[in-house]
Amino acid sequence: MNRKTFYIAALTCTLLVNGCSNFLEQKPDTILPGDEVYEDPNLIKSVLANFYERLSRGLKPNTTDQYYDWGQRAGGDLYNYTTIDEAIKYDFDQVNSFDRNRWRVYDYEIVRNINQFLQGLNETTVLSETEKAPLIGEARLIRAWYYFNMCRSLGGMPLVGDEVFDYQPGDDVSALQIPRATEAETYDYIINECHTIAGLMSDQRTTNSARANKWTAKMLEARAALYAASLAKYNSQMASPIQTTGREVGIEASQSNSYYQQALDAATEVIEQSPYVLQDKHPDDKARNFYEAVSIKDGNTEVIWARDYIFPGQTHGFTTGNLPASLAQDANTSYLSVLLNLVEEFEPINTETPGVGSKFDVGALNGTPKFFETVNELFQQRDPRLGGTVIFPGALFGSSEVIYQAGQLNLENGQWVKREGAANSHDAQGNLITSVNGPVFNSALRLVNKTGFGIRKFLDETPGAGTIGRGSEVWEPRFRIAEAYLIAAEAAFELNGGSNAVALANINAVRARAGVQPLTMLTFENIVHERRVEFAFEDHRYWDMLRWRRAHLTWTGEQRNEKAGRRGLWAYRVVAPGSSENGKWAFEEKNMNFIYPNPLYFELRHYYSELDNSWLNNNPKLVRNPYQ
Amino acid sequence: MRRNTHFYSEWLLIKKPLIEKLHPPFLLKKQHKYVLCSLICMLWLPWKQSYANTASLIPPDTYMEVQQRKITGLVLDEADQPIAGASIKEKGTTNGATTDGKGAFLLTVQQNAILEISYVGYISQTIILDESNEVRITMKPDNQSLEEVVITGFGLSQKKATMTGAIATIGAKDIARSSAPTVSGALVGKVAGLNTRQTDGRPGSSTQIRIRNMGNPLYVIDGIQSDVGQFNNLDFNDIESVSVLKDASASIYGVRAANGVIVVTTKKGSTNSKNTVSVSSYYGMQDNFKFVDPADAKTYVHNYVQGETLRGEQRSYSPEEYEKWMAGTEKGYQGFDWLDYIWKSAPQYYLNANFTGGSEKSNYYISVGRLQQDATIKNYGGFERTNAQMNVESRINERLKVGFRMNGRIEKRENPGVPGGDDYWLPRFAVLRNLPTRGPYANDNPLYPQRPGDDVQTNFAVLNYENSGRMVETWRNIQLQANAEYEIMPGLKAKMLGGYYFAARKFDNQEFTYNLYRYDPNSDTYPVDYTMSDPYRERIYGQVEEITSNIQLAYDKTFGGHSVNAILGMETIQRSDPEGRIVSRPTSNNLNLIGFDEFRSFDDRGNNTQARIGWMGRFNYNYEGKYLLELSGRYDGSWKYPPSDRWGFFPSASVGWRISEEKFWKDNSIHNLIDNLKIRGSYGLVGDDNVDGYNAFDYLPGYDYRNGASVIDGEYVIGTKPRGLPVTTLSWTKSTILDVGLDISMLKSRLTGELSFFHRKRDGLPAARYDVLLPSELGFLLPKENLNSDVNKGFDAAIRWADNINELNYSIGGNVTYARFYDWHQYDNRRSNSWDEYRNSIYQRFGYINWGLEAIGQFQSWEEIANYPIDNDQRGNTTLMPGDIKYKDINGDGVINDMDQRPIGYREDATPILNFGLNFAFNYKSFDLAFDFSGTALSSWYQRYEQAVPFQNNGNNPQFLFDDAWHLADVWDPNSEIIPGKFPMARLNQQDHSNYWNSTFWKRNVTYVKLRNLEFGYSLPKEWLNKAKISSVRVYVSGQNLFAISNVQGVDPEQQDQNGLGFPTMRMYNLGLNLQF
Repeated sequence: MNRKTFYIAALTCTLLVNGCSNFLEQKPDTILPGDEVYEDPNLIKSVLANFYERLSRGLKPNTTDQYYDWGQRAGGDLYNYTTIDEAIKYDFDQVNSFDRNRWRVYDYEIVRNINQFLQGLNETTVLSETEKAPLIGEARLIRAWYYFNMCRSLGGMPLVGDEVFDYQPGDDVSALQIPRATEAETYDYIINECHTIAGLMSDQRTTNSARANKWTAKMLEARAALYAASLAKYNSQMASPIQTTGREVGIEASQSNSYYQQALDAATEVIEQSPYVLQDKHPDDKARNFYEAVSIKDGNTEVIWARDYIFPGQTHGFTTGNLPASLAQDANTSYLSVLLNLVEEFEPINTETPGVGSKFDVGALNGTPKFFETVNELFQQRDPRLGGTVIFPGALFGSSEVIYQAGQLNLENGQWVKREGAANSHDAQGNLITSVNGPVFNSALRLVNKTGFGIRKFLDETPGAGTIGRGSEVWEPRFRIAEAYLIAAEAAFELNGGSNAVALANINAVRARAGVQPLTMLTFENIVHERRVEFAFEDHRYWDMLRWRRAHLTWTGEQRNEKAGRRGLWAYRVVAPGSSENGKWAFEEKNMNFIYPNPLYFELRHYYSELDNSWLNNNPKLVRNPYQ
Repeated sequence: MRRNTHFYSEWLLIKKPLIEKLHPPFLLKKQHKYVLCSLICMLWLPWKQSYANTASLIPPDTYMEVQQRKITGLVLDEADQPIAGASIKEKGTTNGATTDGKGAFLLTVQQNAILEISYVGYISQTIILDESNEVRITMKPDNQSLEEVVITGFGLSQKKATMTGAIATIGAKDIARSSAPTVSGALVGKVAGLNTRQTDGRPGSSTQIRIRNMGNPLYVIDGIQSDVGQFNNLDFNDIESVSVLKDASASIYGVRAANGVIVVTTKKGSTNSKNTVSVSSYYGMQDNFKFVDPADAKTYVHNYVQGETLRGEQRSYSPEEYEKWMAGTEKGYQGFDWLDYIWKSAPQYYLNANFTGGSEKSNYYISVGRLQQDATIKNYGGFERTNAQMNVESRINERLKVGFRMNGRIEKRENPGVPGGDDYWLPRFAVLRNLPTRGPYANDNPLYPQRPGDDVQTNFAVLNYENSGRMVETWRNIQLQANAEYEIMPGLKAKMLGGYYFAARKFDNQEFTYNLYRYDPNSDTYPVDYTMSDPYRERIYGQVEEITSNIQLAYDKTFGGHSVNAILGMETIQRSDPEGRIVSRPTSNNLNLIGFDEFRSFDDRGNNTQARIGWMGRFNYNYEGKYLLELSGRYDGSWKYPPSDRWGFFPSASVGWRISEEKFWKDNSIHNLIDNLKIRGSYGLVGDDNVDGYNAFDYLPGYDYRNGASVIDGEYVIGTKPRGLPVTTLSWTKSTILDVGLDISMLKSRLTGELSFFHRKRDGLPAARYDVLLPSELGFLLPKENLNSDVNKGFDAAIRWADNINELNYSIGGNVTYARFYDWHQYDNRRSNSWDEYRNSIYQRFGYINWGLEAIGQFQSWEEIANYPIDNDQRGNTTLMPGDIKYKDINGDGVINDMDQRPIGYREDATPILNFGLNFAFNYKSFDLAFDFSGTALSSWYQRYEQAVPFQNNGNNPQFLFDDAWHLADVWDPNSEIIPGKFPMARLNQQDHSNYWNSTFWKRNVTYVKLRNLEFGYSLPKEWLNKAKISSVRVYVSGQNLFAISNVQGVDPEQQDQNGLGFPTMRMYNLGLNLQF
């Protein structure tokens, strides 16, 4: 090796590293230029898939990685189910007030992204106009759905339209400041968008109802109109209506009828013309029928729009988290305990007052208990939808009986004495004292039931669905045909009063499918009741209570108010050899204040979320919400 | 004659006879086979010196030479700089010579002469002459000498005496005195300017290292920029020295150097040295340094009953049961010790053998080492690592030198595959999560593990290979490096380095399904109580590939009193780390292969290619070693930024003045007291392309593929999301570092010291403007710009005394580092009122202020609570009992709330602000003793959750929390006397109680001193060894983390988990052996 060799080697090395002047130009792994996306129908669909994911949750303000749900949903944060009078979680919660911002939806990035998508679709040539139309419809529907979710939590908000804004340093910012629309204008925008795009979209059913079609648009139109109508009516009936001077919040009472009419028309069109029908496949087992109508997607005729899940790919942990301990497949169980508040709302089948719930008559455990031959007879006499919504003591899940047993009832010196133990405890004779499922008193003990009832809706029977590794494929329905019937019933009731045939026909269609007696006369309470039992855990109850302005009247925060408190019903097995009652069952209503010490307390300020200070700072044209 | 032969012929000359002995003759018939064989010999057999000394193998003609011969030689330092004035003597004679200014000498000696070379400040060498008449001698500096050469990277080195930057070094001997499994642990307490903390002590874990608390440093190993894993997993017997570049002298590393640079140089052989084989080995035991001691069954039940008494409702224990627990004798009431069940002592062993030596033209260092560290959790595997290092250097001719380095290793981590992300979590959690009243097995039958409590995962009886699976992670890494150095003309050299790094990662984790059982006494059977039915297998195939090149021109010249050294260079680095991750649900626990039908997900991470180029230059000048100047700079480009903002220039300058070299000093008697005094200062700019707020390619518009996904049309469709506004207004984050210090040596160099003050300011941290308010309804955020700044400042110092008393040699040293972080200019510092400013402003304030209430004692009696004027619990004091914590009402509004918080502590999740170390070494005849203390102050630990709240998570607590709490005289009677203690009364289920608010009661400012290392050795007398042809044997006992003096109770003071369940550091006791042939 000599000097020449060295120089050659040095030169070669230099050329090797420097030869390509774009050494610093590395290709990113996941970034695509915009034009590449709209040259490929598969990538266009991929953008749509991103929107479908984002339409039920969003980023928290001022964070980059914390998400919140837009409401209750099976694939989301289970805590959402514990914030109202439907269920609680298994451990101590000192929550003493509603969180008005919990489901606040504010994510204009999705609007901008959809508008970018619409622009890209407009320009692309890889799709024909007829291929584009339904995609445009879907994107606009997702945008309308976003506005709807925002409006129900925040009231009227800026309507951006189709524009994709841009900013260069030095641009005049005030030109970009859009004031809030009124609440009515926002609902009008949603209703009109839905009305328009329905014509662009297919009227055929979609696979597992995952993609929006014409009927999705119609349902959103009907629901938005119903919300606007009831807000107009019931807000105005308040002693001091909740409103802003510019009507960003607060719709004029005079507008309610036209909104009810729009809701009725849209809902009727879905009922009469859509391919969806109330599902009644098991007339002999109405509980099963209801469960399948809501939770099972195979052969489903009822669900119009849902978020779908599939394994492998995307699944959720609702089943893992909520299986009773005795059926647990993985480390988590029993997160949600269903409240007696909801359970007793399911009316007795043979009631003389159909259309309202009633308390269970169980006597007094420490004095004169009422004894029952079986643990589940009390519940089987109720609206069969109970069995499709709730796991009550003695209910079957798959082929397994679920035992909720709080303790034994023993006879001591002629007195009935209850005896409770730890979860999964047995007495010296081997008799069960307290079930592995609970309910148990210890408020810190997790992974065990607290009220005596578990959740059935959305709970997956598929093997392995309760494991963290696989998860559940059960969908999250957003629109069901049953809602179209109940929207029609409510709108017709509001327009024409209680005994009108349209209202009765619609509500009774749902009740017949459910397996309860038809109504002959309709009251507002019947509508409240029907929606509560039909749509439990489906993200309706909270918003219904808000739009009817009933939330502050029901959830008053008072200890003596049963509706605001949280209650359970605990089953005790009689273990008293020699007694005629031996082997029977007794029940005790149990206040859940040992675990939830504070009753539900909804104040007027909770009707609308707050506008975040950062949004107000960024746009001086925004006005605050009432009580903010 | 030899000049004309090919490179390999030098080998053949010596190896041929041997090869002929070892190989069948046909192998040698062709020339190229010679090459092959000699290559085999190169790789498998130690170098020629050993054979050269074997008479039978030396070609006979070498005996025919004349009896006298002329030797020409060159004496160089480690940086290949000539040493002038070195003395060369023929052993046993008065014959000698001195080297000239070029380090050259000429000497006529006897045929079999032995040369002795010495120079002040360097270790004297003895050279046995071989057949060559030219020798090249590399002198190694005497440790702690001013002539010590500090290597700061490829082609970058400086004499310590004339160095102007703040650079600390630590040599092989000090590093090796540690039994930490990773290199970072060996530096703790030994270097001024390092802040360290080991928050996790699991097998194979490392210590967090920050240079002056500045964030992740850059690591450079043998001239190649490397990552922290490569640094930590070197075998530290292979390390020659570690230099820590603390100030702007790091600017030569440009864009990644803002947090300082740690430069590692591995060992190499020396030319003309004899072949040495060294073996070092130790075997030892490890224990948890300190881990939570859970309350025993008796204490637990006693306090639980008291908790229920205080709550006043349902009872879990009847008085009869309670008595049985207190007696603790009856079956089922004896309690169970989970700590003892899960944790144990575990072995660690280490073995390294290295071979080193050199001929006149070549030298080599080859080393193989192996470390195995078991977990202190029973049957829980651990960490093992095999390292191989091979450094070879050869001088091809007078002008050209080439070198090759190879560093390879295999790391393996193995443990049961248990549920959860961190497989070491459940065994730790189990200690407190499981109750001492319930054991792991149903009916104590070890065939049937049961539910330990309400959490089914924490039963340690299933957390093993048999029941819950296996996790094996292996890294196979190799770093290859070739370098060449060519002398173009005297003083001017060209240098080249090429590096290739490849690491393969295989991660294989399987979690089994298993059953838990219960016992049915009626039927005497064990029905299944719970089935874990989520089988899981995860496999990751990943790799890292890094290609580095570095080309330099170096000029070095001394004329008169002027010394000039200039370097111009260029460096390129390209790194990619693709990785694929497969997750499946295996059909059976016994299946090892993943089938398509079991697929759950596949995640392709992409290449993540990074690329950086830098042009660097450095200019050193000194006049008579008195006035020192260094200018350096680097022009660096990073792929992360847009083409327009990609390049940055990072210059620095430093000056020094060695007062002690001045004539007036030397002539003065003060020189006897202070023989060396240097004042130095440096100032410069360094870059950082890795700060929060900007990701690579943020300047690009377009769409992000694989963002979100949803199931539409019955299939899983991966999402694509439009990107936000491209960031085009963001450029470099720039750090300016100022360092002023002095180096001193006194009393004939017995006392040496150094002191530095530093100030680093980072400008241009990404933030968004507030005075341009974009309506949030636009759907995009204002891109970030370089707006904010922060500051790190403090000092570090080291001092050392070394002397001897007769035959006792000893040294005592100490070092301290104080480095404090400040948030500095904030673009947005609008505050609405003075409280807001006090509480929320971070403008020019200590960083990471730790807020909390001030505890001012505990309530002593019911009367005191009744009469207490301040609402201490926000419930009108209705929840209080004697023993509860009293808070200071700072704002005087009569109620304790967040407005009463004040700064009460330091940062909890980082290295402490103050680190110090004390190092002692003694040597007496054949005995040696060395030990190091290390300690920290000014960091906080928040004692919380299980460490504070009784029955947290329905589990157990540390024993001390119950033993030392206020309590009832009669646990069954709520009205009985309340007996004082330290902690508040143990209530049930009251984690939100005012006692557990964030306050000075629970937040501790941690201070500790640990005896980090201790080593006591004995070297066997040489007379014993000579017969066995062993040059030295040393046996030693050593220990690590032997004890600590600390102000925290019950946990390792270094850990940071608020529940105290961090994996503790290890206390080790070793027995070791060093052998040298």
